[in-house]
Amino acid sequence: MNIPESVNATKPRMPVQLEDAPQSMNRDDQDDAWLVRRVASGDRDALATLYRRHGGVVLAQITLAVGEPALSEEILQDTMLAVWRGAASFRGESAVRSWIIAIARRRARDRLRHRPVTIAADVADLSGLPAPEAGPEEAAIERAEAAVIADAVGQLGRLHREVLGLVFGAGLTLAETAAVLEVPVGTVKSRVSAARAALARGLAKKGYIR
Amino acid sequence: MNQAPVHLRLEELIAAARGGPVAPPAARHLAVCQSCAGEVRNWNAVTGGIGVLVTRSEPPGHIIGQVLAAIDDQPPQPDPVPAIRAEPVAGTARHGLRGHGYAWLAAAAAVALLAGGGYGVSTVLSSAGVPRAAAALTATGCSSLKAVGGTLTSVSGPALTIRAADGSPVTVTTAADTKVVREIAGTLSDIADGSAVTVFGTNSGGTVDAKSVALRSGAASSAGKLPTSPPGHGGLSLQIGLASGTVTDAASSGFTVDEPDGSRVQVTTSPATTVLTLVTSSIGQLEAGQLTSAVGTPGPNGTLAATMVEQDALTTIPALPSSLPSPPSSLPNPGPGSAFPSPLARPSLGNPGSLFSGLGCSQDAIATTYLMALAH
Repeated sequence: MNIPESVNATKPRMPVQLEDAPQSMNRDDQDDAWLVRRVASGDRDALATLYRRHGGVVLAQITLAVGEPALSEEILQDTMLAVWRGAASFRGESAVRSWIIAIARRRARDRLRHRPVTIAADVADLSGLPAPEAGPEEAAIERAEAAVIADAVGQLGRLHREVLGLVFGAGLTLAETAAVLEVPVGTVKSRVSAARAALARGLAKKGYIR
Repeated sequence: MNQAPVHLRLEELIAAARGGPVAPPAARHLAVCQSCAGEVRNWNAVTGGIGVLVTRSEPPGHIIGQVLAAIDDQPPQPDPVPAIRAEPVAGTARHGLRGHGYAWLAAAAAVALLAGGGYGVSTVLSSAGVPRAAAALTATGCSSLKAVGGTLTSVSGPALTIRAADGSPVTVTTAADTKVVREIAGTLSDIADGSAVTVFGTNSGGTVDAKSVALRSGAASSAGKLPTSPPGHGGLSLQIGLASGTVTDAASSGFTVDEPDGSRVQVTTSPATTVLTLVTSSIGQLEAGQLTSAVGTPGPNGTLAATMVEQDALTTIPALPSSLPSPPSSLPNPGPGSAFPSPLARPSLGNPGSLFSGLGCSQDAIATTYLMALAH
């Protein structure tokens, strides 16, 4: 499916104020907010348009968090139904994309609530502590191809995958990411840095180091 | 006294890595600080890797189809704003038939009648606080292309002004290579096997009953640029029928359209079907007061830098005195389930962008479809 908007992943997105949109607001955000209003009024085509715009990014984010493609698609379906039902509650206090991702995250949490907890191997991932100072393995990231990095991201712990996806996949700001993850911005910063360090270590083990 | 260098903050590093805006002081620092430049390269590599993951996650078409089917099984929602409501899915979803809800017909008809009269009916848009010029540009199925349609009010050198569906004037700039096409009258006998066509009509059990057929020929042909329909698109409501492709099996009662994606759409015609022939034209030949569409890229301040301009030279737009307090009431009955409680509450064109879903980046098909929708 050719859906260019959905892969425009790195575009910074600004908060939306429905009733008083500032002139500087990203036009896509204006369009998105309008679409949500249309969804709230029962416009199915508007929902389909939102899906085309954001479905890919949201699905990628769910997959990063959940790790199971089939389950991720089910959660995406739950999410779009929740968008339909909850559109009237959207107040424009966040970008539409981050609002949808936050819904998806809650749906994923609901789905996984009754599952056994998997203990991640990466202690730094679980703790969310800041990464140690950048070491020589950091150079491994620069040396790796994007596809290799993508595969390496898939090997990270959930928290690391999730934060990298939000910041670099969904294009959210650190503040928006913090809101989605329901953690302080400082934690997001620590988690992002720790994720990169873990990524670099993983790539270094694969030989991507001088 | 030596001061320790103040490096970029994480936010600035990430913004630079994502290609976003960087404040001038940060940019200056980045130009001379190898450490920060290395950080940006690292984050940029992470961005690339994540981008691969996102690209791999194409949203499957069946998911939104299932969502819409589930919605059909639910009781109706409250309706806080005037809605352009889609009809329930009618019949079997069919690839190549792009459905957009019955209300589209009524909304488009409203636009056709109102565009020449100076009425602004964009209550939804204005209440949402969306700048009118920005709202007037319509998203298409192609991320790089926007469209505007309405009445051409003036031509000033290479610049056109189109009064858009929501009543706002939109400046359209053209260049030497902007393609300009006019629709002139044709006849059903002009439709022959091999003709490149765009068809607009109603979906009747999987067949398009054509209201208009636009024939492309010669320099106006869009051969090789006809749209493709994304998988899963047929999950939407199917009241308006569209087809675009090459004619086969032309007969007096209809023909088949072979779409570029391999799907085949049956089209029926009648004496009421309007046949339009698209001919190459120029900016100087465009007439004020006629329905006109333009496709291109967004420019500054809500303008559109057009790569394609198309004008309907046939449709007569009723002139409405500007002093009339309300739009005319002779609009077609939108039928059961309509969200139009009264003429005054009729919405604007709604989300015309959805009309173009499936048309890809074919500027010809977008421009023609826009005009057909406005004319009907």
